[in-house]
Amino acid sequence: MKENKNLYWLAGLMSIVALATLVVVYFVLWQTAVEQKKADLVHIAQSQARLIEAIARFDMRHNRVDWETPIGERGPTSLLSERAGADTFSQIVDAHKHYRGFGTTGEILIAGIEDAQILFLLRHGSQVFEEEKSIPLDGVLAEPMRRALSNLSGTMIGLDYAGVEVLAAYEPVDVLNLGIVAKVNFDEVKLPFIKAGLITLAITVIIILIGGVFFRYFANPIAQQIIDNEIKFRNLVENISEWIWEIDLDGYLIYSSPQVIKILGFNPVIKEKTSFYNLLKDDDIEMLQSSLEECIIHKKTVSELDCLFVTKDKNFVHLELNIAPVTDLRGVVIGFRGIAHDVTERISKEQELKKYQENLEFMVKERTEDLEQINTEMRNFAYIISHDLRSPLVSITGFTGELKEDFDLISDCTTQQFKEAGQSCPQHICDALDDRIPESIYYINSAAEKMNHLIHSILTLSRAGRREFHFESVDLTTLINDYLASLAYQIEQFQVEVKVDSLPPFVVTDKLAMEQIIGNLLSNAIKYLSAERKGVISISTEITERQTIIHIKDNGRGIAEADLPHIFDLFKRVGNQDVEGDGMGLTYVQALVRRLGGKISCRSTLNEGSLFSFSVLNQEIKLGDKINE
Amino acid sequence: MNDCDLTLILVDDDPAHSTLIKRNLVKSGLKNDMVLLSSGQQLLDYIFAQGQYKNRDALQKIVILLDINMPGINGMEVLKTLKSTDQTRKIPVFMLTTTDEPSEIEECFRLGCNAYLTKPVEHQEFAIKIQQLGKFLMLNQIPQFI
Repeated sequence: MKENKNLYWLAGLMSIVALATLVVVYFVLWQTAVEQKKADLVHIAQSQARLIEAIARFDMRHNRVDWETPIGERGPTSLLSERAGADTFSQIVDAHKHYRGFGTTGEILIAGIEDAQILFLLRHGSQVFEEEKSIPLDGVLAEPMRRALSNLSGTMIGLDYAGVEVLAAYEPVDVLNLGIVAKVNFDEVKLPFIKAGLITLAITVIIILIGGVFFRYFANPIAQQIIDNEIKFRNLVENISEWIWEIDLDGYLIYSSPQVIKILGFNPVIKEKTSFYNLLKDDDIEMLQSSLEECIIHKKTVSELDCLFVTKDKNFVHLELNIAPVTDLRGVVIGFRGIAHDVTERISKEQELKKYQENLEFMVKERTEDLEQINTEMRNFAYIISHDLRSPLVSITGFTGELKEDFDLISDCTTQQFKEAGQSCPQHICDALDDRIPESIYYINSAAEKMNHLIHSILTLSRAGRREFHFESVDLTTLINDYLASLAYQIEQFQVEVKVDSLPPFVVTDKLAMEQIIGNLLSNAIKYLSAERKGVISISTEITERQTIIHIKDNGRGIAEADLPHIFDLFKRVGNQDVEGDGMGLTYVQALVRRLGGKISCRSTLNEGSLFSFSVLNQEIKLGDKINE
Repeated sequence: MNDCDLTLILVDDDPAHSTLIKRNLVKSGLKNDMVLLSSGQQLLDYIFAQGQYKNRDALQKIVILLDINMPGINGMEVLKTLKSTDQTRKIPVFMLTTTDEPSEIEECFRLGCNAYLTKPVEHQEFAIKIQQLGKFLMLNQIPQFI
């Protein structure tokens, strides 16, 4: 709105200037016109005077003229008739009669002095009048003639004999002691100017009014745009969540957007010269000041400056300041403009996050220690299995063996003795010697053997978990073909068809582990083929961004749905137990796949076949890379 | 019998094992003296003639069959002591243990054991292995123990 008003003030000022120019031009023209008129009148008066003098001198030489008697002593009526100049004068009057005067009110007057009166001898206006008219010499009227008769020459504006204001040129006529005045009514000079002035003024006013209308027509959209822009920026400034402020070099607030109320809880009053620094926490004032000094020196903006501000309730809020220097037209910094963003929540979230992070790190560390502890225990466990459990087993089998040897001796001996004595062995002794004792020894041995097998399996598994992996680029195609070659006999025997889809050129993994995984799965696929149909085993891969998935599919006997969840369990064997196995293969495979960072899964339908899929993490090969537990 | 003056020292905390080993060695035809000890400390005392073995007879030639996992000073520590002492470095030490832990085997060889034998769980194998050991001992020259 203010801009709009200013625009109209500007228009008004321009009108005044136009009018003033008009007045000045008008005044100059007026002056020029008056001067021109004066010059004309002077020219007339002087030329008349010089001509009259010339004629008078001519007459003087050729007539008898009493030049001795002063005019004043000759009496008014006889001024011309009596004096010798009468002839001269009559010639002048004659001449005057023969030409038109000038202007509407222009008059040429010729007068002399008689009896302390100004005696007008000739008036040549629109007509030529010869009647004599006298005016007192000491009056206010006929001032131009008075000056002419006082032997003065010049121009003036004054009253003529009739008391009319005139512009007059006066000139003395030396020879005849007369005065000559050429005058024109001042009104005649003035009136056309007043008329022209009024017309010009009227036209100017009309032009200004039309200009005003046009100005309004053109300026209004501009003004509207300015207003719209201002409203737009004001809305922006007042509605964004950031607090916008401006300060002078001393730190006093010049502007502060209303957002400050939301942030600080109060509005710092600008009129009372509130220092921006007073809004800050004391510790941060120095930091801000030094930043602003930098800002002045380098004329660069300060960005993301975190400062603590004090709210109305004496709490602290974290504001992130972005400050730009404000310069005058010469580029001198006169203050700063800034935008403050409330980052309290963010910072508190960050702190919270940091706390969680620390907590997490602590937990991870604790867990890692726990895991290391468990790992150590596992290692000890493996040792316990391989030694402490085996040790008594060695004794059991050892002494059972010893016992059997000794028993065989006794058995042979006893049978022999009964034979020699010609007696038949009592039934219960025979039963013991021939059946029960060997049977007991057999069961003790087979139990020990079973136990030994279990210990061996557990040990193998625990070692799989601890073996150091050596990562290298492994060619899957070669690996699979090599393994299939080693199974050539079985493949031939069971008439198995093995399909190998195109495989990735290589995967980065532990070669031995990969051999064990693929070997176990392939040998299972062959082992558990269905007798009812020709065996088909297909191997394919699927490569994603993170991992390579290897599928081994067979059309064998499949696994019952109820058994599927248990196939990876240790010592668990599902389905018909007609094929030899230790119930550990898949457990071992799973342990290896997991250690390589992958997963293994199985989909199977009884009597239709199984699909085993396992993944291997895609990784770049690095020299000397290895994964340790 | 090449070395009749060879004494076999059997160290095992499990008397059952000692008995089994001794029986099988005897079965192999080995007639040498055998000393059965049940702990690492006992072995050190015996070797260095200290403690209860202060007044033992002078030793000529000895071979030690040493178990690893024993309470107190274990077999490895004993091995380390023997092999790092000039006086006893040359005594042949055969580790005879139930563990087939690769790291343990490696460690024993690093410490300087002369052989590492695992006690097989299966009796037949056990008997064969120990009897072969007996025959091996009979055929080889054992350096004089000073």
